[in-house]
Amino acid sequence: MIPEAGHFILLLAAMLALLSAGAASYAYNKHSNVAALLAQRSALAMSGFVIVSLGILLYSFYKVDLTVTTVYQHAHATLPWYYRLTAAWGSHEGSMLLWLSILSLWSLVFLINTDYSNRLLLISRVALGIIFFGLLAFVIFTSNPFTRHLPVTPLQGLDLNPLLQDPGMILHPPLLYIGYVGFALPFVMAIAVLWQGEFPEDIKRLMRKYILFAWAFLTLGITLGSFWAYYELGWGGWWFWDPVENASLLPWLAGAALLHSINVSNNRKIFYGWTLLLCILAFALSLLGTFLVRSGVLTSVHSFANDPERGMFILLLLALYTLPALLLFAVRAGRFAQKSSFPSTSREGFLLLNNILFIVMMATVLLGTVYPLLIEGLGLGFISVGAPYFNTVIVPIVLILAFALGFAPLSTWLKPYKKNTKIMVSLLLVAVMLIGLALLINMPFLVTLTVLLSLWIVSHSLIEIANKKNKAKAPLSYWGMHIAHVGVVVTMLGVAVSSHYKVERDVSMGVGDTVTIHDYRFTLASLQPIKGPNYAGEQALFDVQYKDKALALMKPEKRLYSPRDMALSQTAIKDHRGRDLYIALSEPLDNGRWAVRIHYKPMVRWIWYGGVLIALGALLAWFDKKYLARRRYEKV
Amino acid sequence: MMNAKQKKRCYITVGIILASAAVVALVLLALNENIHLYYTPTEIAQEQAPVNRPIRMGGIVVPGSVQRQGEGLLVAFDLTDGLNEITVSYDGILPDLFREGQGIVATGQLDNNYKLVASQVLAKHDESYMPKEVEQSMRAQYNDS
Repeated sequence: MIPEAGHFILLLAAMLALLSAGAASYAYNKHSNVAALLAQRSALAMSGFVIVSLGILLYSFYKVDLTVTTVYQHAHATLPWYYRLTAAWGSHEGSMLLWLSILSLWSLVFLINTDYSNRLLLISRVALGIIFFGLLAFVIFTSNPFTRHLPVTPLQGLDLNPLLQDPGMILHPPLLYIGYVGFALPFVMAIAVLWQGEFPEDIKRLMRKYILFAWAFLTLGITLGSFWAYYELGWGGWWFWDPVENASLLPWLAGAALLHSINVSNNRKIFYGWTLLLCILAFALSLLGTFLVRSGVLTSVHSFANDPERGMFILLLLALYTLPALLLFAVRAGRFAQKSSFPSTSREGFLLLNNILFIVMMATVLLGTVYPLLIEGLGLGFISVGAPYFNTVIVPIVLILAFALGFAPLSTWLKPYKKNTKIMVSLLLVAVMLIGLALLINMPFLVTLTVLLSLWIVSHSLIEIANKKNKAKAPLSYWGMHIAHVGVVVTMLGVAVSSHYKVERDVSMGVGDTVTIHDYRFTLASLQPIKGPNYAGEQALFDVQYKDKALALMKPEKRLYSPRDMALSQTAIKDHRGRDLYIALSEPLDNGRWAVRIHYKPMVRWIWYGGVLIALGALLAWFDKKYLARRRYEKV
Repeated sequence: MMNAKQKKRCYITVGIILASAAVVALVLLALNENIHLYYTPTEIAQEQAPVNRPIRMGGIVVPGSVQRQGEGLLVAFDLTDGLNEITVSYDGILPDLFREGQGIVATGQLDNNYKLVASQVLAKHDESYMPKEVEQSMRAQYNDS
């Protein structure tokens, strides 16, 4: 009975979504306070119901109710309870319900943060109701998680894919979705702003808050996902330019542009049209990402078996949501056209450059990601776009961005950039010395450039902080900005150093064999069988020496998960003085030998440390009291 | 005649157009160099695929065809689409999900004997998964014959 209740509650939520959209629209047209209250209450109930239905699904997973198809397909009684719960979003259906539940959380925040009778936001409520209805219809008709597997109840479930039996699975999807889905709020607010033709201060501030929070979590989600892929997939890579990864990067890039442009809108009351367009774009890209991941239209290393029919539905929703929004933008954007002029080296100028560069990056990643789809759609065959494409186009843009980033904190609104000759000369001297040193120790060009740019950014930030008056009174968003920018530097250095100085050895090894990388010696000491609750396998013992002294015993494993008969490499990673030593046991060869991956990756963790810093910076800026939205009570 | 302001605007517009044209050209160039076309074993057997150019080929790993060579990681196996088989050689570590009877996609270059020298072998996370290209091309062939 309980799963049926979940299904029923979802149906109710869909009705309530329609009701709230209808009531909000009536309230807007007829200036009815009662209807506005009805819209508020029904939207609250709808959000609550969606979350309850996720609770019901989690309960079914917890109890391993095998009559429910998704439970049967993704759970097993031997799974520990926390993986039984997270198995709920290991399935497509559960993942979509999680998506909706997080949208419901966001919607609750929105409903509580804002005044229910705010005339402008009534439009947002109509839009939100419609978005909910469409997505609920998607879940109910194409991905119902509560479908029963009757009449024959299986004795045991098919188990969760072993790759997903990992702490990464508990956190990665919720974090990513908080980010992705959060862009729905700026989207519905932008629609209201465009409809009304005015962009009030409190709306701008609230928008800024939502954008920063969502973007910070998207950053965390992507960072965690990258780290997870690094240690779990056993290839030693951290980013593959895979369509599923790009799907999350696209809204991230648009969001990065958006959070910079909303600041200009907040502080200088310009860039309105551009900010609103980015709001539409960010949410459209989130939906596109959902489509790419959930439809399985692209061959990806991360996606799982899925159903193209669903892809059509999401694509339809994407069109239904974004095309009218873009049309509205085309009609109304003119109202926000302002005569503003600012010198090209003022802060506005640098932020404009930032936006252009982020959007160019987004467009090139988008092109590379959907190009295979276009070609296939035109019936021209199957193609794929290789990772070198993305590296070739993205790296130069990032370098330009980094160069401009150096100026940014020292620039001021409205006034051209003031050259400080002393700083320039001293930086130039440091640069010359560094290049000399780099030539001396034969540093690769890109690494040298990255180090120079890093110093460039950090020294500008430090000079700016040193010159700042009233440091104690500086708003949190000020520190957030510096921390996030340092995060960019940290990630950049991690990428440059780890990809140029990494050593990767894929070798065949028997017991007693040794591989030497720089000062490290890896000796395969022994192999022994192991057994876990739902897997059996082999564990290798590697004796690792550093400069002829024993350093560590590393124990990579190869596991065969019995319920699914699936093999998995459990990597062994050791962080030694900022260098990652990475061993993955890949496959047994003949004569007791094994194919082994031994990697040496200096500074690779900086990539993820930087990601965390960037997210932290965004959260600090989000926390800033200066931008707390003051409530404005306005009669309908 | 244009006044000074119009002239400036004109220069800026021309500058923007030139810059974006350059960016687009570079991007398309990069894209063109890194596209891997997909071929089925039958298409390769019929010599429709270019040699010594990166391509992708998908199919089912023929049971019993996987052969290790020497003590290293060099491995050779056959891929089939039900009609034709093409030999793939690969020097590296196969993905966890690689096994006989599994649908995979290999990226690499054809040598002059129409053997694929693979640089990457892709099998999906999911044991019941069949790469979409493999499924569709196999379906199309069954319908033809």
